[in-house]
Amino acid sequence: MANKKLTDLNDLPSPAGADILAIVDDVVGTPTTKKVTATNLMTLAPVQSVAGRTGTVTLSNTDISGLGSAATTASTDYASAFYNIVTKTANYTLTNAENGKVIFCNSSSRIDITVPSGLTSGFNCRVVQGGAGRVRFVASSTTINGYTSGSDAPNAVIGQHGVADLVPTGTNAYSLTGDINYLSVFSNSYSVSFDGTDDFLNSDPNITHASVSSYTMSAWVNFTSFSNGGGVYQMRGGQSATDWNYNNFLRVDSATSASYYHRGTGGYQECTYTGVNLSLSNWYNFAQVWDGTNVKLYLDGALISTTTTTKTASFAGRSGYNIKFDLGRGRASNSYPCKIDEFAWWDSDKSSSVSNIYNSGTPSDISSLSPVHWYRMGDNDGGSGTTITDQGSGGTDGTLTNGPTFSTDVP
Amino acid sequence: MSRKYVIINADEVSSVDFNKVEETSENTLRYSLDNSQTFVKYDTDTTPSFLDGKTQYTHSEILEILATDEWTPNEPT
Repeated sequence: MANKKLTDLNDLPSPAGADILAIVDDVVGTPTTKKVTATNLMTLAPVQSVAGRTGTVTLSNTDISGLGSAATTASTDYASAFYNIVTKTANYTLTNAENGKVIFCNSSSRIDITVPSGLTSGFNCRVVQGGAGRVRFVASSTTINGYTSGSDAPNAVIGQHGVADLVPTGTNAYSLTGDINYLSVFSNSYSVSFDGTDDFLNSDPNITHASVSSYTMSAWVNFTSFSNGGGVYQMRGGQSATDWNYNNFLRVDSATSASYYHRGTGGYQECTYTGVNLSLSNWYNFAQVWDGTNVKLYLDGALISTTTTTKTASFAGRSGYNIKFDLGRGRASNSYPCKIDEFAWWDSDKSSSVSNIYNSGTPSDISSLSPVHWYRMGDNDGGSGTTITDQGSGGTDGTLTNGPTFSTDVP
Repeated sequence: MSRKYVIINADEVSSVDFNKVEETSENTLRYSLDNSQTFVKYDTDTTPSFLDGKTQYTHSEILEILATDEWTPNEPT
């Protein structure tokens, strides 16, 4: 073979180690001279080993400094921070697949992003509120902190196009930063169940409302059985621990008879309706109003009975008279087998708001109606203990007495 | 385990251990209209010793008893 330039030599697609030495001048017989290209060498001999491991090598967490566990727990999604974008249009629970990504939330209604425990160490993401619906972060066995100058830690993106970063601070612990503030969302998870024998909620007896000229009471009630003559709940007026004889109470004798007894000067003003059709194990909203002239009884937002009265509330305008509440009983110590939720009281006539309180059958946030007393019956208290925290402006807590229990059956 | 109810005489209240019944205290007991009797309830399978030998009632049974004139007034008070 005549002398050739290296570039004229035939290609050796699969060179062996000794082939490198086979690039020689013309020699008769053997060996056959062929060129070896860098491309062919790289094709056959990529990285030969990683950390001493040869053959086909799968990267492990420790092969790259600072990778953490992302190589195994989110390896297919590992990218530099906030490189990839994923869109969410409904509530979503984060997984490792969102690690380091931008989560674009696009909805006209609120989207809850749940942050569960067990996400990979160092998990972080950036969340954008793309639509009008707020984006709220919900901790699930995790801790989400955030800077606040008030009492409520920020938990939501402020508004459309706002951005929030979820920054890891420890195991199952994060800090939220960015365009965020606190979003309060009304939820109702608990009611209180009374067995109807002797258990009740008893409010602090030192509630002074002597100057009222009207009042409104409202509560959601679910009857376990009907108790002829029994009182479901009551507002009691009196002067001392042994003198709470002025009972204003809701009485439900049967599935067809509901009454409200307003205790005024000179005795009771009864407001009765016998055309109701109540069922056991259903939730109903009852409201009672004394507007100074009339006593009214509402059921599920509708006025079912009213009567004119000259009987001023027995505690109103009387020096030294206070009121307190008993829930789960009325008529002195008679108890009622039922569940009660969302009891509220106003020192004013709320007739025009009764339909709003009923809210088509679902309790809602009534804080805008400024209740003086509002017992949420387990919500705000974690559904445990014996204290029912007053969520109204009055700040008069109630005490569960004689063993009522929390229930997750709610209206 | 279901809740059990036991009626006791008023003069037996001093023997009640309120840590072993659902009633909060002596001051929160419900009495019959003539104040001669009251009752306590408990959730445990083991009957508290101070209630040994007394009749136990179920929830529906005690509600029936409490609805009688001995425990519930006919008219509002």
